[in-house]
Amino acid sequence: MTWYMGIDIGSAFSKGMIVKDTEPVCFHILRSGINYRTTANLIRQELLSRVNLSQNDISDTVATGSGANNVDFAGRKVSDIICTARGMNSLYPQVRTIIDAAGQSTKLILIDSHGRVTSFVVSEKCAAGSGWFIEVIANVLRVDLNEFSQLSRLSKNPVAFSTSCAVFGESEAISRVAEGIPKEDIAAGVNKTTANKISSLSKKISLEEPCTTCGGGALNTGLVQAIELELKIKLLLPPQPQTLSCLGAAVIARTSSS
Amino acid sequence: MHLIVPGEKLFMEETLKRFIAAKQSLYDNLKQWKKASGKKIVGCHPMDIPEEIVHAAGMLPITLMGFDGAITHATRSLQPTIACNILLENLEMCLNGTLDFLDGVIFADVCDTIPILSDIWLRHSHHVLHHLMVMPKHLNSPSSRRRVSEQFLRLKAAIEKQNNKKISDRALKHSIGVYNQNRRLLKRLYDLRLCKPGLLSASDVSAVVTAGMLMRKEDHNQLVEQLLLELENLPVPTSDMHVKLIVSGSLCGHCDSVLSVIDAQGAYILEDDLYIGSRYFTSLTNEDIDPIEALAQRYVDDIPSPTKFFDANAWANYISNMVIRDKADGIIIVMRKLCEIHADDFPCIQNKLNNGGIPCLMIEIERAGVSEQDKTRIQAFIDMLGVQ
Ligand code: SF4
Repeated sequence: MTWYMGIDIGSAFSKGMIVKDTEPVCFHILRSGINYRTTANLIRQELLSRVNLSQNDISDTVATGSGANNVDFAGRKVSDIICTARGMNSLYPQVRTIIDAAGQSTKLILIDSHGRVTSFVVSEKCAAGSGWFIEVIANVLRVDLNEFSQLSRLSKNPVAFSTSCAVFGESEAISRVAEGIPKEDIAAGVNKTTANKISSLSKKISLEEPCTTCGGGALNTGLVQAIELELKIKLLLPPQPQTLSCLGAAVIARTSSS
Repeated sequence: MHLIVPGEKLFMEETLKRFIAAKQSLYDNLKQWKKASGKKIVGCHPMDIPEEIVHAAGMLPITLMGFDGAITHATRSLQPTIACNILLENLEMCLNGTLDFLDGVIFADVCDTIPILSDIWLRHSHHVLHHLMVMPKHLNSPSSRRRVSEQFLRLKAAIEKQNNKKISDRALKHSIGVYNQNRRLLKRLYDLRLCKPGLLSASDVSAVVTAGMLMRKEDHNQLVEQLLLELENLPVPTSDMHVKLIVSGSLCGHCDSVLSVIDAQGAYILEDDLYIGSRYFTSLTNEDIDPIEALAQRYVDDIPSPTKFFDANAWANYISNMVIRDKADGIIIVMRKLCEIHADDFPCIQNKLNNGGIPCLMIEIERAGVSEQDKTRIQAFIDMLGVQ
């Protein structure tokens, strides 16, 4: 039996996964915090203790994400776009387009039947329209992301946002709250704006179906619905959408070892 | 830095450190040099300045290539919505006094905003020599070379007037020789990198070229020669494991942050088409004809450039041929935000590369740094060509 580990140190959350031969065995997610090295080690400890293994039992580890350089115990680093593609392909080999709605950016990735990236686009330099934008507005509404997502699905009249910038969006949300606009319409408006942003990004690439979504944004079912409406597509939803990149990292560790 | 033979590592690092130091302590070095030599220094706003004319007048031409600090004064004079950051950074250095030690400044109207910058500069600076060259853009007419010569003669006259001293043909031919020598040496360095990829990192090569734009060419020639002697003796095992790239663009300034990401990702650059790179030194000047005619000929016959119009496809063909000739895995094009001449040519370049099945990534840079998103793009592009 051979074990592999994938660690994804993202800007907001860090994730880790162990796979045994070809099967995902366990995963762990933590807020990245400000010390990525410590976070990576905490994730490793937790993963190893869950399967009752030591580091020596792990044949290879691949790190990914913006903080990948901090994973000292990884054999190598691979970009998160490549890892996400490989992770998704191991679950759904039929998928051709991935919409990765992450904390600081959104990525649209086209893949072939082997999980190889054939093309990709990444959102602009700032966090406009990303998970961070949604988190900021959820704070204004004093709800957590789960509630935010539920609320948004109740709305009949999503409010229009003139911006997807987290900074300007925050003031706009405060003004809407002051005007007495219901929370659900504000939440739905934010999801609609984010979906619009993803839709304009999709113009730079030719989306191929079947499509799927992953990243923290995929936990927001209101956003998933808004993207489906905006792009007129049906999205496949993986069970743990935040862990695709670390799953892919572990799969790459396994493939390169074999 | 990729250094292979441990015993020789320190020696070569010392030479490289001198290039990096020349780049980093730019203004202090130049001020000291000016004080010690009593010579004049002229800032050349990129690109296309015939530096040989300045050199022949006994002055030191240096390239103004922006800075990393805060831009506070420049945006009051020049709209940041129309000006790329190289323009703003150079103007800021003019307005905040950083460039007060210069004796003159020369511009060529390589894009539409440069004449505006030149006007603002003239109003605010105290440089005795201020010269704007208005270059012909369409170079395929029979009169183009004559018009380029006229511009170069005007520049020569302006310098002569300021120095109250003629520039002799002999001096100009000598300067052309020094510059040609510099170009040959840099070409040797590039040839070496092409046959021994990974011998030097992209950042090191950029430091070597940058230093030459900021110091006496004679001193630079000596340093490059020393570096070549060391490098040519290094046995470097070549490896097919690394992704091999061409990098193009970054007009008027450096893209060191992009090069660092490429280095960190373990990819090798085989050749470049960067302004602070091969675009600066590729063409030689004929040493056997009238020197002004020779400089004009170089200008007209130079490698394809978005500052000069021959054929809309010329630059695209040039870049695509470079990728094919060098058997590179792909190309990264670095475009400065708001650089309209590059943006105008980009669709044609992209079509050419797409039609040729050449993987291409375009990165838009604003100032010295590179955003997280762009880092992700570069890493994914390199992994796409390699890991998978
Ligand atoms: S980079 Fe482009 S826009 Fe900026 S000065 Fe150079 S040519 Fe003009």
